[in-house]
Amino acid sequence: METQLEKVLMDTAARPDTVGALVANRQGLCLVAKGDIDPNVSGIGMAIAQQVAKLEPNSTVPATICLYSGNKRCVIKNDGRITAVIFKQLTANSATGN
Amino acid sequence: MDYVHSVWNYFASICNCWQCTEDTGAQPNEPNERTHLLVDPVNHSPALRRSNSDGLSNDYAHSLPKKDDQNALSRLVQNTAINMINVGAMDCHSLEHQEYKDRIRVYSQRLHQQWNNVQHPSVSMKGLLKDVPSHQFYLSKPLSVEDTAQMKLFTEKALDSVSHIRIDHKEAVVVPFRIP
Repeated sequence: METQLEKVLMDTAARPDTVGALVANRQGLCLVAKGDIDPNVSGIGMAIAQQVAKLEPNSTVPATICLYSGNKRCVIKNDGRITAVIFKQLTANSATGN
Repeated sequence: MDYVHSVWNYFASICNCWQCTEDTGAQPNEPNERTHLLVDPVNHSPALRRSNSDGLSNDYAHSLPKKDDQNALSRLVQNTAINMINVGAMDCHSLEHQEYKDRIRVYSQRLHQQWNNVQHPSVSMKGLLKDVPSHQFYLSKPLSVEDTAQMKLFTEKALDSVSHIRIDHKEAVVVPFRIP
């Protein structure tokens, strides 16, 4: 049933620098969350994406939002049907790489 | 006669007491911004005027009952006087137009002075992202290609997976009811 979705999240959460990831539905309810991420973030993530979408109402391409805080960042994207939230962290390896 | 004298002294003392509480204001004849709207409400109440009049205390002094009853009576009169405000009996001080305008000017000047003395916290707190130490660094930070690529792939796959969610039921989803 939702095994495919879970696998996608597992793969994403296993990526370098990625701390956690979740997918929310149209109502902002969390469908699946993997890694170190609070499932309650889903609603806030969707609300932020909706507010940002108001900046350019005529844009057909969904915006990718990135919130920076210290060495962490939160990437949000809402394509209408789902909202995806990824928590990322700047590790020592990636910092030297940049 | 001695008794009458004591009664009179009592009323006189009450009257004096009220007078002194009234005179705490600086200029009684010159109304200013601190003057009460209902000036001297106690002395204008009819109950008190009656109790202050000479005729009452002298004429009815001989028929006054015992000391306790008299005390209770005077307390009653006093309480009534405090609770009553005879607005109609009070003289309202009408303002001349010029005086009215002068006062507006004086009061607004004072307000302005006070306003300048006040520390306005909102003025000093004005500014965007005051709580972020180096906001220039974050504002100028571009969205990394890695992040957008990862997010694009993630949303595409997630959307595909969500649309593939099916309920694999082992029993019949729609159960027919035995409707006779």
